[in-house]
Amino acid sequence: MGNTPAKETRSPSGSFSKDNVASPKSLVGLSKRKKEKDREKRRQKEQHMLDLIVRYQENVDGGYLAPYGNYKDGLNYKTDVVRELIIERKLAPFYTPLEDFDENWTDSELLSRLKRLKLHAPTSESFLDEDEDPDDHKIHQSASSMRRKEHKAFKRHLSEMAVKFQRDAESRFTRDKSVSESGIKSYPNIPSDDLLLTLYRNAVECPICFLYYPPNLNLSRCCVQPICTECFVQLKRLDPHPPHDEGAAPNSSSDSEKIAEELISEPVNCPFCAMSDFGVTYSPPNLWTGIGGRPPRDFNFAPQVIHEDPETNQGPSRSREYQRKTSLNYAMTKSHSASGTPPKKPVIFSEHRTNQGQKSFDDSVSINSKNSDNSSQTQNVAGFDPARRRRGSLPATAPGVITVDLIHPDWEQKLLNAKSKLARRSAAATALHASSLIYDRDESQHTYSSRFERSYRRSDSSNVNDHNSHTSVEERMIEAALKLSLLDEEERKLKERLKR
Amino acid sequence: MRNPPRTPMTTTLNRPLTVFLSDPVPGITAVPHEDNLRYFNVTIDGPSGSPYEGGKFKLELFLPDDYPMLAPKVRFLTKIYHPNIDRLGRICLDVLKANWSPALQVRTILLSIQALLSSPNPDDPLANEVAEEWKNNEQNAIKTAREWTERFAQ
Repeated sequence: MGNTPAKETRSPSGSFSKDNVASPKSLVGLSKRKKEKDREKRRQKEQHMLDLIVRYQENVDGGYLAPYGNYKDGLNYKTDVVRELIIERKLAPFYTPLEDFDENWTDSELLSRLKRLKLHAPTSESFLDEDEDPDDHKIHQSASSMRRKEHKAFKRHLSEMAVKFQRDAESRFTRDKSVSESGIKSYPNIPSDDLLLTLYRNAVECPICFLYYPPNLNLSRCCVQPICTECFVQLKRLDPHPPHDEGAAPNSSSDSEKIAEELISEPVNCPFCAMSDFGVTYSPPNLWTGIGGRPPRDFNFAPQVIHEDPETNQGPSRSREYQRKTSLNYAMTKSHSASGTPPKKPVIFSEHRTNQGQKSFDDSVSINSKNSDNSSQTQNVAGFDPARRRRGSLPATAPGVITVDLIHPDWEQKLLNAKSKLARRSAAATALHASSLIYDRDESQHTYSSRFERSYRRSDSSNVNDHNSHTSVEERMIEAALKLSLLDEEERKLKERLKR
Repeated sequence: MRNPPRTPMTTTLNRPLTVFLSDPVPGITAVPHEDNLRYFNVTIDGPSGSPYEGGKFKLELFLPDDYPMLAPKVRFLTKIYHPNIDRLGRICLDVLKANWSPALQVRTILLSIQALLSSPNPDDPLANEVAEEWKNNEQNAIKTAREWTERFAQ
């Protein structure tokens, strides 16, 4: 049987996964530029995977920079943009969700649940489907089949690495946590009990995933509804589609061309009030722990008291009472220390860092929005919470509004691709149609000759009678070819523009 | 093509369902399959005052991988004479298509379907013949719907 040669041809594909740099054989027919592009794409995908690992050291106000893993798919948002937004406190961090919550739980009940939380939802080992490639049973595999396999191997490799990295991060977290609890050594990024309680004491339910999060969720810009960051990053535009669902299948080429032009991609509607161009605002709690703030280990309810009594952390009854009070309006917690008169060392430290955070925050905002951002910052420091007080809706362009398109900027490219794909198909159909006309014509004259002969004969000795019709057909083919190349050019230009 | 082996449900999927199952709607039941928790056997009682009154309609409901970002897939298994439900049991309902929102829940969807039984909309038909009949001879259409309910939805 053909088994042996098939295996031989398959063997090179096995070596591809060893290294990211594809072996020359695998990229047969690919230009150097394309190879480079391929490599760049892989590098980006690896970075994306790494960005999705939850590491406890990367925390902001008790949350993290990567999602917990409620959704195993659809994580193709711009991780770098989202990480940046979280660090700048313009988007809620990814908090670890509680599956249920009861406000009657005592602090210790709540704490014991919080301490059992993992960084990431249990990951299932490789759920990639192992379906066969259509070329598997062929003796000679096409270059594209090799590329497909290579791509699959790379994807599998990535997901395996992701599982491994997350497991490592998880065990590190567990280890450091238990070391901290035993009191042998403390790690600055293991959150204090006070921080955990402050965050989760008044947990609220995200109306989309029904999981419980600290109350500082993002708020929809339009109807001021809460939404967790993990659900927010899941929202994205639908694939480009014709304006009406029930468009009849295009028959003539001009129709399909028109349809290609008419393809639309609509901004995501608010899941709550259906307003177009969904966006959220976020106002951070006055905790300032983690990146740009003080270590989460050092957070406590009553910084002033600590100044005199460093043992408050252990929790005498007096501070318990205090806790309840503070946690109720926990957002005000830090205003005590920020506006309070005797700033002790850690607070100075954190304020210093805070200012830095603000600076980078301001720098990243465009100039005309600077004023309003500054004012919101001062309000924050004074203990006010602008978003929580916010009643009315904000336009999508308002400063501080994070739209879906901002973290899924690829929609424009997708629309373009869909358009050019459709236009290309219609142009190809025109060309095919035109060439079939030639064949039809020739068919009547040389019924028994093969296609090759026909086309060959046509090129050097075309019938005089047919001359006119041939030229018109050729003109149409040239036209179609021109159209294709124009499309290519347009696409290239837009890509360049997008890059810039 | 074979389907990839399904992993156990994620928490995201779990929670909305727990909410739904713990807070049932009168006249609607939804029971998950034992071997695939994304797949539900649903029954909806025909609303009173409609030609479907007294009928118990079976449906199947499937939560796709992307749920709740994508709408659940719902289909009537019981034959029903309705302008917005076709011979295959497919349902023409805006919240199942363009107007789906992740903030909607399985219960909202099932309630919407129940409401659709109360108020057929022959101007946006899926079953054209039924819709024609509904527009031209409503009494007759309602009579047929009632007959079908007696014949198939018991």
